[in-house]
Amino acid sequence: MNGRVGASPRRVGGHERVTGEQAYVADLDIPDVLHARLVTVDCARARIISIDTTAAMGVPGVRLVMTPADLPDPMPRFGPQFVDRPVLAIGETHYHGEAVAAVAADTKDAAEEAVRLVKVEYEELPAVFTVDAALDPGAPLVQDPSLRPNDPFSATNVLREHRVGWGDLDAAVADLVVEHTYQFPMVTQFAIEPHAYIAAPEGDGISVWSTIQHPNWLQKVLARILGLPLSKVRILSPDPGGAFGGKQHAKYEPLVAFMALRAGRPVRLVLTLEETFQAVRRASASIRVRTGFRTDGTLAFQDIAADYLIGAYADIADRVVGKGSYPGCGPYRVPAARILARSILSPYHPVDRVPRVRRAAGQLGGRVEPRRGRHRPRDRSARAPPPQPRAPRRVVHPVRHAGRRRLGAVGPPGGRDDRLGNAPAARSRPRHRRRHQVRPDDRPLLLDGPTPRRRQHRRLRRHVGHGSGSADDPRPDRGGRARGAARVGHGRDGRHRRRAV
Amino acid sequence: MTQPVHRLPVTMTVNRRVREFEVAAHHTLLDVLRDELGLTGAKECCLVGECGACTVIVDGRTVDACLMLAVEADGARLTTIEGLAEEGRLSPIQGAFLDHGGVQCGFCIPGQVISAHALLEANPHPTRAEVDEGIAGNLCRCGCYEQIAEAILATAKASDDLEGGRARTTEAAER
Repeated sequence: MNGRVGASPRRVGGHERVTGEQAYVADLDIPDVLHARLVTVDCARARIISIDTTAAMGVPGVRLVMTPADLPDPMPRFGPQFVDRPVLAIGETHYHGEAVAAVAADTKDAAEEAVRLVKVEYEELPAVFTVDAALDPGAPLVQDPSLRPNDPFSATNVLREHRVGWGDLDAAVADLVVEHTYQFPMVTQFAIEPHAYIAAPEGDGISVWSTIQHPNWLQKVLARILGLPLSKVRILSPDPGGAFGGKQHAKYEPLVAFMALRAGRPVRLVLTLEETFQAVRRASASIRVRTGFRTDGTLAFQDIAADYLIGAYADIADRVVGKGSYPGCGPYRVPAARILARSILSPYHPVDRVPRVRRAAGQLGGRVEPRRGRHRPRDRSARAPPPQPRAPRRVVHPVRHAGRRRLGAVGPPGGRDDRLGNAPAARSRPRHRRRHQVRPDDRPLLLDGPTPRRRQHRRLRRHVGHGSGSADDPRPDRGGRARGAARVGHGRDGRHRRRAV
Repeated sequence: MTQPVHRLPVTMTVNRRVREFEVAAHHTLLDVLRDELGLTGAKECCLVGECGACTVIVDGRTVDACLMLAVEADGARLTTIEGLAEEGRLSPIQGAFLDHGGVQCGFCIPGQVISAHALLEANPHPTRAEVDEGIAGNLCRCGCYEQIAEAILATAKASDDLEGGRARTTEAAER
């Protein structure tokens, strides 16, 4: 099964994975490490009156109980789009599960005992949990307006609005209009590996191990928040045990880094699965879709309003709301469209993913939707009273490039964010990806003929960018190859080949 | 330790090696394997017996190590993922997981491999339904179930062929 063109090579790093040698963050053995646990309060929104750590500090083995008072003033904040998330909740908690303090101890038992003994006095505050409640003019604000100065939305719970459209929707004539509002619940990515973080002071800098998907972004966040130059912040991100978009951005790394620097020892925080569920999620959404059909089965218009309930802190949710909404009309020729998507703050934990509008609007690019059983507009239209377009799905043709270019308002067709704009290229992408895999074989590398430069370039980029270690591991002694077989590996530059018998 | 902790002496045979040590009465088998014996192949995920990432074999039966107290394993024979490959050579089921693309992120794989191994030990010729039942306690969030089931069936078939081959060789020798 190994390696030649057209065959399925064994997964790189697979040997370590089937033998249990693969070390995920929680498996790392860091000498002298302290075990951290989070202190939370049992409600969505609370005013913190006081935190008493005396009893907790009395537990043998407890080295540190970190409260907001131990952090710089003003409280350092971070976030990939808005710098809104505090290292620890300050004054008020904004979602259930938000940490108000954290304990570090020699043993897990001591840390757990100390968490129980941290006395947090708090007053529960009213909170909004639905789109309608959040949009009510009298609704309590999830974020203090001072966090987003000069922002016209800062006095509301709307973080941002995204508007895309073309054609004259009001003048569009339809023979049949189907309208429905689709509800999407919040869901967890549930990567099977719970989030885990380790920070270790190293000289005058710090090393941080994390299950993070964007280590370079994390490095910048930590350097800024700790006041260190980039060169003093080392991020190590071993292969995660699944992420699904849920481990993209900094979560508890800043807290663990501050704790490690304060304790002068490595600190390790491995979230429980329950804490992981409260660390990140996919947004819930309410998406209203109004679609106009003509009797010949073509579409007259699409009018879409999508409201996403994102977390109390923006994380990356709003950017994903933008990207998830503008291709909402799917691969169909739609002469007039209006898409309004709103990111709405709510007292829930952060969001890294959102449901795509396309799911509501009835189609996924390139995917064959089931004809029945889905309550999507196009299916609904087939059940609606006459004039009934016959099986409109068969008549409505996907747009070709020319039609798609109408999306130019949001970026050039075929650009990085225009996933539908260049369908053939998009389809070919996974095949390129597959070629990243090492080809440990004794055969000549036939693929190195016509377009090697491009492929090697990609491989190089991936290697440098991910730093996960195993993707391009040059060690040839893996994969259960037959003894004595010639081996070919490639080194860091992605070009070096080695032959050994 | 925060309160007086009862530590009890236990003896276990872990991956064919007899180990004698003391465990805290409230620690699970998973705590002890990972934190005291350094066997981190069994993973910590749900801690409520839902995911199967911590599956180990205790006296021939698969067990979620997060649900068993370490003291309960006193005197038991344990096999963890670290004990399957002998002298660096993958066991057939481990090789089959790789050949059939059953491994993606890999976090659930130690548990999956252990469950598959135990299944084949107990039932060398499982049907597809029996395979599904055998790995029902192991979640794979990457969704490799199909490939994992194929790997298990292929391993069963390969050992079958091997046995058949041996039988034919013996027959030939006798003739």
